[in-house]
Amino acid sequence: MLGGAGLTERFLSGRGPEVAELLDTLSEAITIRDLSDTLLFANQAAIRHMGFETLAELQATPLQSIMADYIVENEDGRPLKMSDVPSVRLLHGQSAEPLLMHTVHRQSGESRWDLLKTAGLRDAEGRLMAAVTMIEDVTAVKTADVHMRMLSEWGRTLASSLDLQETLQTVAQIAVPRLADLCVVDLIDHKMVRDHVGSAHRDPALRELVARLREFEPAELEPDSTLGRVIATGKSELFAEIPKERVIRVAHNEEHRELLRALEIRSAMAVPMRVRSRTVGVMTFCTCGSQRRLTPDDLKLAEQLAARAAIAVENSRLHTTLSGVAETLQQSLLPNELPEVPGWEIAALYRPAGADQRIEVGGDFYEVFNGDSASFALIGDITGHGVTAATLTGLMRSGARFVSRLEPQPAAILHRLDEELRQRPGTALCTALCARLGAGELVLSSAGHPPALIVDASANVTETPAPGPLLGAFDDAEWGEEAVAVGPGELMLLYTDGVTEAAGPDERFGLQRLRELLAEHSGVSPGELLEALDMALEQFREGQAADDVAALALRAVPYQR
Amino acid sequence: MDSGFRLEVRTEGAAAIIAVSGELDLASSPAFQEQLERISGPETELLVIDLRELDFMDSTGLSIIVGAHQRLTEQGCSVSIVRGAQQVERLLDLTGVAERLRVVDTPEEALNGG
Repeated sequence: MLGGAGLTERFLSGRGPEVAELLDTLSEAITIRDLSDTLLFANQAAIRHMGFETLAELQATPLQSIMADYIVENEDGRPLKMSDVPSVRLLHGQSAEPLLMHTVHRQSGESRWDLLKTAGLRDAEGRLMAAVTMIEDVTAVKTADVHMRMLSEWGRTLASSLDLQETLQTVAQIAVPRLADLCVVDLIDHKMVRDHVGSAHRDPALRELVARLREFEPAELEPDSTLGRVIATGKSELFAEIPKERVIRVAHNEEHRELLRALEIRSAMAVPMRVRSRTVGVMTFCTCGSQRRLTPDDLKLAEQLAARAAIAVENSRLHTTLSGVAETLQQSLLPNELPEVPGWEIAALYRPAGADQRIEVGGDFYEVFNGDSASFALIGDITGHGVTAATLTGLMRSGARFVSRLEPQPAAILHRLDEELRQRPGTALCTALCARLGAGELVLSSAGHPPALIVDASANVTETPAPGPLLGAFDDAEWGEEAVAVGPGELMLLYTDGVTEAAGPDERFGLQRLRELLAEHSGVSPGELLEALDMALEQFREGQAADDVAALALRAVPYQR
Repeated sequence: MDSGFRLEVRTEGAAAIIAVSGELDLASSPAFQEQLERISGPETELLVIDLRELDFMDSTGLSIIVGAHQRLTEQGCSVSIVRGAQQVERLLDLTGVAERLRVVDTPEEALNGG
């Protein structure tokens, strides 16, 4: 744009004033340097940009010493040298790509983004005579861009994980070095005790130092300390310039003082992590080696980030509470221990779906109990998942115990449970298998439940009859009873459909595999059979279990009382 | 394991036919339930649930069918099921659903009232 041999020659011969006047009206900074790296010209914007009053003053100062007043880095935070500057490169015969340059003025701490573009001025023969550079202040655009990217990275991080510690550590890392050189995250409980959950420093060598510094800080925040104040008021604080004496004034001893000195903190801000009207923590941001001064704009961004992090903290705490509730509920819905049943050895298996997510509660259940006149085993599956299904399992189990006192017959128990379910609003269905445990004999009644399997000493597997409909579905349902003999050496398995429907890579576990597993384990104890089943399902299954699994294994033993 | 659940709906006069294929389990059942909830009597006099192309159904799927049957019967709409794969058939038998709902071999059989 400024090409043309005529123009160059006019500058070189000192006849450029009218062009200079024109260039002075531009808001972009323009400089022209000749082959000997002498500054021929700088417009008014360039003179002011570099902190000078007149062209003569600027010309009298070598570029080297101007650069020395600044910390100069590229976009990735790598220090830039003279030889990276486009005009210098061009004049040395190298390519001069546009350069995005981040500068921090050492004295004032002011941070700026400049875009440098250089073009050559050539004489009539096309020989390079000088380099003209246009410096555009892109601080506003670049800062907005950096802020937006950080917010979106934070958003992704906060949405991606429920592990709070890990999330907040990542959050601190994202803030460094773009927003600050050091970021520390502390969570606060209601007693003002802090839990240090994350920190990041732009210089990996100083991370150790930051960790050691933590040891000097009291676990309990004092109300008159900065962090104590930020938490109490819920208002963030910005310390644009912290005098060196003030940084070390808080030191407890010489070692602490040394650590603080070594960090070279220049500027700091403390921002509360607030959700609704509660403060759950505080984030501290400092600039150190970069010499940058934090600005009200930085504070605004930090506040946005802290607000998002606070929501993540709140969600995680809520999640922990909820899974605690779910677990407590689940615990209360399962028998802790199987009772001793005269004449029987019994083992149980229970695996709620998605057990490692802790929030799941299942609709499968079992219950073994000694009633007034007989002992019973009950296994069942409430369709559906979640808390509703889980609470209904409680109803089924306590209902069965209650009914057994008045009507100690499996069919009667199922009949009453069906009535109970049908009286509830909405559709609540349940499959169940109920057995009265006699001496070497069971009386079974089934409500739409997978039949029990029996394996004898010669590894023959048979299915028990399964006549009745499921519970909670039909007005006119009836349930019958079947007596099933369980001889010495025979093993019986009651299970829910989570066993046969466990999904592998290509197909379901299925009844056939289950029968084979029983045949292979003829003669083992109930506990050993269920261990083998649990392991087989674990190996077969692909990914997380989608359904609950419950199973009871029984064998008759010589009656003792 | 990909459930590959698919659902097709058509109407014939006052009858609605919902054909399902793939696997009807916990993951795919919400779509099925949503579709069934759009149907109500007495505008619809007959609902035919075609299970011929269904490879697998779990108790969640079954409970949706039973729930729809309970609701629609009260609204004066009858429900027929077209029987499907062995596993599905076994589930319907085992739970007593096959005995209490009308189970037929083809949608035409249900539509012709035969």
